[in-house]
Amino acid sequence: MQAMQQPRSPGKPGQQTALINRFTRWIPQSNLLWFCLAWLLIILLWEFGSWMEWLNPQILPPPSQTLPYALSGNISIGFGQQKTGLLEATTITLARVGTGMLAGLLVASCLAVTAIELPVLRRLILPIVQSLAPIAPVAWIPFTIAVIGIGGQAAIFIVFMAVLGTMSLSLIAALDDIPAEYLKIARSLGTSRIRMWWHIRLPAIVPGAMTAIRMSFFGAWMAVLAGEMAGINSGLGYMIIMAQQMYNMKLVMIGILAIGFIGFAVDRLLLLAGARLLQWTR
Amino acid sequence: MDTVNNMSQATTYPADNTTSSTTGARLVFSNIRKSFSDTVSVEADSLIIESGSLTVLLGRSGCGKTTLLNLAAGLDFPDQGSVSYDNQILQGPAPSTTLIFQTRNLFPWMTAEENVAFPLRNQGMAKTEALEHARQYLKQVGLESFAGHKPAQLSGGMRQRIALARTIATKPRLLLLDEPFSALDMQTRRMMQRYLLDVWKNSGVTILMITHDLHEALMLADRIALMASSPTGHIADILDIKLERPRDPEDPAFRTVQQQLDRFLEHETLLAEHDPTLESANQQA
Ligand SMILES: Nc1ncnc2c1ncn2[C@@H]1O[C@H](COP(=O)(O)OP(=O)(O)OP(=O)(O)O)[C@@H](O)[C@H]1O
Ligand SMILES: [Mg+2]
Repeated sequence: MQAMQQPRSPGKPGQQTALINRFTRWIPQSNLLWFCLAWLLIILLWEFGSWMEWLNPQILPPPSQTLPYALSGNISIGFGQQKTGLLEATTITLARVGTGMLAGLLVASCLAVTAIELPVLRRLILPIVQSLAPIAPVAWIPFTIAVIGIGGQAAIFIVFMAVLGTMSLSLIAALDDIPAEYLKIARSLGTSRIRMWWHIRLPAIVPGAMTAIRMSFFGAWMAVLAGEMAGINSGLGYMIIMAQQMYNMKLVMIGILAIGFIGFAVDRLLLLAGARLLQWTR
Repeated sequence: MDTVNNMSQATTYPADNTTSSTTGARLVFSNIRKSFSDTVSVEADSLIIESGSLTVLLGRSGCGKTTLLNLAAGLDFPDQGSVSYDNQILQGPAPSTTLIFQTRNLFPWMTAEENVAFPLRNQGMAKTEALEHARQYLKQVGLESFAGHKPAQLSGGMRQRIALARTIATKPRLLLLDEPFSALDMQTRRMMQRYLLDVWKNSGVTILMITHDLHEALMLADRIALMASSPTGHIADILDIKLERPRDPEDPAFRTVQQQLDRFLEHETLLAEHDPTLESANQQA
């Protein structure tokens, strides 16, 4: 009872908020700053852990060794034909994700258009994509390697299968969610089928489609790396496995950091692109 | 924007192509039954909407006004009976018909001028020409300076005016309005009513309009179809409103009709309150 009544005593609440305000005023709002701060903290803890010998430097080399190596610019692993560098590996993996996602988006768009235009086929398409969507992207790896092999096409195919189900479902859902008024008005204004898709439905689903692309990127990113670790013979995931087999733990760590950093950066880029598109269409 | 200024622009309507009146469509609803579930249905035994008339559907929420409008637009079809448009039974979207809703009339991804140009582009007009025309139509509703704005940057009243400008551009024979001014404040609503009357007078279009607002109905309508919701949605009465135009709410004759209508609506409310189906619903709530 006492405690309940205390804040009501005159003056106190005002003083408290003033105090809080004085603190929060010194907290910077820049996201980038907080991002750097968080990473600085992780790196410091990691270095401290190695220094205290909590972490075995053979397995987890400290940042004071890893970072100079990462920045030295001539990171590579393997010999002869198998030789692969960080930059090259990253480019290969990103290209695979991009190609696979584009192909997925293309096929998903065709499925979505068919589902909307032909209600009979919608009944066939929906169960197929609904069964595809919940399959974990990595589940396609053994099948793909057995059927397609361990080349680049296999990686692209894994990405494609990873995104096809979810992308189709989200596109169909976004199309179903278009407010009926827009479609009714467009129809009464004598809009042809093609113009209906191009000028009404497409701009109307931009926000939904951008979210779908962002969401499926994570699945695609994880699937392609897992595929490269499981046997596909190039790319970032492959580089990490090679490094591990040659006991180059510094490179393993750098690979992991690269995965996290690139994943984050691409997600941010997609978010930015989405905001741009939205601004343009609203 | 100065609304009074715009109004004066609207009353000095330019005598251009919009005045070349096309004849309005004639609509006949006969023996309509439309149900959505076992309990909900709408009936209209006989409602004739003459060419060039302005008919208002008035009734409480849920009595089936929007349903009838969708049937008139040929966007939905009755289970029984038919809607004919100039003696032809509607089997698809009604020809030269424009819809205006309470909101979402403009496509938010197009600018004001692109919205107005859109139906012209549908008809195959070249882009620059369509935009040129669009700006002319925007001028008629006093919004040419907002041609490049997106709907999100405009007020609700401006958006409805642009929808009206687009309607003028399409030169429809039938104009269907579903509570077009309900989201607007009183002054803007009055202004929009006058705009609508201008469009109607200058074009000869047939108008079917839904409203909840008794005053609005009396200011605009040739005929008022009163809808009731029990036992099912149906047209309870059709009144010819023979008041002189321009109408004046202070006119005793206006007031008399208003009182009559008021009494009807009150009666309809009382009926609904004693409706056993609604009563059980009330008890549950
Ligand atoms: N697509 C639909 N599916 C199921 N029920 C519907 C559908 N459209 C309308 N109804 C029902 O039909 C009845 C009439 O609906 P309608 O929208 O025509 O009413 P209204 O008179 O326009 O009401 P309001 O004034 O609230 O807009 C309502 O009970 C509604 O729930
Ligand atoms: Mg309605």
